[in-house]
Amino acid sequence: MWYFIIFGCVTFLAACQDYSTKNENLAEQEIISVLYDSLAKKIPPPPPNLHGLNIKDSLRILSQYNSIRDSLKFEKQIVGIIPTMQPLESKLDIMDFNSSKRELIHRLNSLKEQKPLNIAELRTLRSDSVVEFGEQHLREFSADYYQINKLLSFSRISFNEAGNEAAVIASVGTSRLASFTAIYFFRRISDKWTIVDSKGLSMS
Amino acid sequence: MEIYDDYILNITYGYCKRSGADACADGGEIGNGIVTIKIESAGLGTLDFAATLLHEGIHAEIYKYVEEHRNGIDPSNRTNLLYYYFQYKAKNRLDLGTTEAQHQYMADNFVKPIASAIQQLDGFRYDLEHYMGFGWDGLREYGYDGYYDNGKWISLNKDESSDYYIKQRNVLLTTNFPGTCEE
Repeated sequence: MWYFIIFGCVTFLAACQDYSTKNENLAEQEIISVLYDSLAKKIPPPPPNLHGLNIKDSLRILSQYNSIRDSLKFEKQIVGIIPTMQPLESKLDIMDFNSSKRELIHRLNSLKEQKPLNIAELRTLRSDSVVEFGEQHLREFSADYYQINKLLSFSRISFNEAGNEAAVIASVGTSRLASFTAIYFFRRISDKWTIVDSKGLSMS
Repeated sequence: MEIYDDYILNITYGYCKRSGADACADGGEIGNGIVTIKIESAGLGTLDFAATLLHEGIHAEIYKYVEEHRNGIDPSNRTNLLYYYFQYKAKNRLDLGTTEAQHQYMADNFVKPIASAIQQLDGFRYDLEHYMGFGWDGLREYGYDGYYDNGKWISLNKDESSDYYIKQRNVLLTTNFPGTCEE
């Protein structure tokens, strides 16, 4: 009798663990996809400052600008992604964040193992070519990347106890001398993971 | 007009929070007068490292300049900088808008000065074209998308840019720097 009860409990707990892991993987996939769409998009250059110019010069400069900007709309980007979600290299200071975020930061700090990131599972609205980033994309004699327009990377993702809030560090860069890193906070709203806050961590 | 010179620039080795960056400029504390440049990789440790320091140093200087503008410094010499800040909704802290505004401004104004400084460090072994790659490092995507060259709105030609990579490689393979520093 006891044997069956214990066996039943173990089976139930294992099933719960599987369900939880599966849910977490799905949530991670959705969070990375939301971040990808936000960070991979091309930011156009600002329109030229026409202050102090006459009409003729203004029109000429605007025409040049519009021509360059329009060509960017059809430019297909190649985006590299580091195919693992890494634990943090150095812990974040919990006191830099307000109390509502400290549980997520504490959990993010405590994640130790890297986790593979399958870029084929990205659900993006964009039409970029997405490739796994590797050594072949580094230039030996320049800080710029080779054959990719952008590099995106992601840390491990932490979830709160209820599983409806998450935190992740993400970086976007066009070169090893032009990148931006921030921590993004997510909340599950109406069944969708949504960015609710972010805080910059570094720029180069 | 009063210029505030009591700023602190820290240069240290450190992590740039998984950005893949060789170095980063942390202006998150500029409100307290502090900018920290972290070096994650010195690269080959020669002219490329000097270019990295210049690039991050310019970030630090721009942080300082914009912060001083908030304290009443006349911005007329750098109209486009503040215009870019406005366009990108930059906060002059660690935010994406600030990154974009500063790089766009650097593509407009600092490519040739960086190239020229590296040429000088290399003892003028080649003409300026050989050093333009150092100036464009980190700024190329901004150059391709369009920038101001002496008031003219143009974009960086990709063939020209490829040539800069080749010339930069040649310079780095043959330079004596930092040996030339001591001469």
